[in-house]
Amino acid sequence: MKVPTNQELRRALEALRNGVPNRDAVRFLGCTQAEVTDRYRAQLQEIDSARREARQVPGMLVAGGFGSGKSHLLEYLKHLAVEQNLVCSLVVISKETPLYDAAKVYAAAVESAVVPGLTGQAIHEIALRLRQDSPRYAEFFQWSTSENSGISPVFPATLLLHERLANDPDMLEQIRGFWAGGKLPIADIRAGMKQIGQVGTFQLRPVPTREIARQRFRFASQLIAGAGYRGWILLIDEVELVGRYSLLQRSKSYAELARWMGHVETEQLPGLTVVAAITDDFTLNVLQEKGDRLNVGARLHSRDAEEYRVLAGRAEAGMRTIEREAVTLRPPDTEMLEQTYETLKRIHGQAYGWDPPDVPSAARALRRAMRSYVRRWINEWDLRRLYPGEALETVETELKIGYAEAPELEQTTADDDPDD
Amino acid sequence: MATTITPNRWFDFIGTEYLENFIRDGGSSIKFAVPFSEPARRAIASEAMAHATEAGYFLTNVSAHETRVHMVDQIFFRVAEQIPWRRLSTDVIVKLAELNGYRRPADGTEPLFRRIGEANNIDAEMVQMEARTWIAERVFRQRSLAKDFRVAVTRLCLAELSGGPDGETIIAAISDWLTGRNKAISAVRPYQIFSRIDRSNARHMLESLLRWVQFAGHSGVIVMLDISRLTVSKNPHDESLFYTKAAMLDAYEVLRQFIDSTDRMVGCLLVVTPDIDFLTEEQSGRGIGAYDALKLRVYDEIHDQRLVNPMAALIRLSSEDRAE
Repeated sequence: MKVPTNQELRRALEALRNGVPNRDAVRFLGCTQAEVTDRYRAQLQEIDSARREARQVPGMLVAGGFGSGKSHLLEYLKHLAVEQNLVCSLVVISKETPLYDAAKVYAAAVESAVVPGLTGQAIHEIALRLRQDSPRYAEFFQWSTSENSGISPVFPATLLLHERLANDPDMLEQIRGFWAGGKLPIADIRAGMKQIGQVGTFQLRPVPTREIARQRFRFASQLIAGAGYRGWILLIDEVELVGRYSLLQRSKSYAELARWMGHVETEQLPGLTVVAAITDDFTLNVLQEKGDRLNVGARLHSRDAEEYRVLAGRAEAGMRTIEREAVTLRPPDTEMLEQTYETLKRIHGQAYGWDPPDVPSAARALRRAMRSYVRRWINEWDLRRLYPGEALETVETELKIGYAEAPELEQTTADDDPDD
Repeated sequence: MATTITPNRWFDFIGTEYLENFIRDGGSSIKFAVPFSEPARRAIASEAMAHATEAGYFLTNVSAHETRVHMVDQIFFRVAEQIPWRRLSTDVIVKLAELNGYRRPADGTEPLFRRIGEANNIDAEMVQMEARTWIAERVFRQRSLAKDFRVAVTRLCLAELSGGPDGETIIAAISDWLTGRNKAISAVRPYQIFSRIDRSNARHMLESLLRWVQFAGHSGVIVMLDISRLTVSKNPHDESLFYTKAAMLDAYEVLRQFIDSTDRMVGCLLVVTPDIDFLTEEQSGRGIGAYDALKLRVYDEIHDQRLVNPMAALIRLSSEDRAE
């Protein structure tokens, strides 16, 4: 490992003060979850071949207590992916990005995407990398026009326009914006096709709203491969927020989770694989105590429509994933704690040019999360450096996460600027 | 009773620990500084101004009273309005000129290329030709800037270089686009900019703005973000914005995203100043407890009984230092 700069050390500490690991923190502290990283490497290994076989590499769900290092792990996995020439998106489930809304998950995935060697808006920059004379591009184009692609003809039509309208930067920008999740009227696509003498080549119809997000994911996965990358990794953090949605939206979220894990045969996403993180008490507090295990299926079936029967099946699959397939993170043992302590002490000392004294560790407890240790140590070293000679008295209150339903999480505020 | 620190002492720490080194060297940080009184709120604002001036930072103020802080593009526009774009363009061109062995031009009203020529006793047209190459190589090709931003600042630099009425027209159009004063793409399409600035790209634009400020040779940007309006629970029907609970959560989500993307920001200190009600932990309230994702990143569940850690994510400010 190259010698870290002072700036990198401070950046790591700054992130750890926020409890949000960044690339520097992950680089210095590493990752000790061997079972997860081994399985992940296997996922990455398989992604290219699976794409050619038109199947999705099954995803992985990891579970851990609050502060156990789930976000740290996902950040670590992100860098592993990028190092292996994969595009990687880290999406945090939030009010803006509810798990049940594929369009918003797509927007967040595109916005957060890290592309090896590139900066800026991912889809735009990836599109600029497309080389029409490359075998990868040829494979991509052929796929887009095939009957089994699962995408609307709108996509290959825009791809053809992107190829042929190099002298119309405005149109190119609109097309890239469309691929990234924006709107592009069918009339504009038809006008473009007329411009390049390809009227009638594709049957162009608007794509239903509920379909377009899923098709965008499918298209973007192949676009990424067409531009020469090995595939697309989607990391989904804080899935437990789902527990605060209404029953219907929780049901839809479970169904989406099943899809992300690759459990829906008819909606595979070749070229993409997922790792998601959830709290380890979700099964107890939501699936059991809220009764989702029993109520979700019953409620959806009671609606007596095919759409809800399908949804019920997928929701059941999603809940089973949470209950039975989650890989639980290893809690910190003595060796892990000592290693982390020594590393952090060294980082703090190098970052601020001083010799941190040993600080008393909090009493080792099974339920004490790594976050608690790390924050305590950094806080105490900060105080000892800034207030030399002062006696310290560290207190810790318990941070509780609740699963009470919050209807505001499902409400959207106006997206449009009223000045428009 | 919570442990507090005075705004003056806190910002002194911030100056020493952040502004004079870490942030100037390219780092970024977000702090939530909760004033426990109006004098403390006023004091933090004046401390920010004093330290920004002293350390060579641009100070920008965004308030939830008049800016829709639940929309990141609105935050970008408000920050962009307070950035001296023409000065930055001039600074960049002068920097590039000096890097290429030219002497600094004198101030004046003549177009910049003429002033550089005069200062160096070189034909102005030659200077203009050469400067265009510098701008192409060091600005237009600067891949760390988002594409549309790159195009915009390239145009600004070229316009600033050449001056004249045409230059003024371009500067006005690009500045209006950057600041949201004119959202019509038709105004900037002639300059090869084809996208609106909206929620999908505002964060990239802000990151580019921060990089541009440092590239122009300045220390960075301090953003003072007053979110005290968010905790107002009933619409007072006054002249300020009112946030529904949903909008308030959106605003907290914007802040959460800023925290998570600190690594992508360069040379920025973001100081968020909420109302004291922000510290309310009830999930049903309007404070930090309403949004777990923000709370888990900011809340100081581990702290000292007597001493305030000025480097912590959450700081309580009052007119005098106080221990629990």
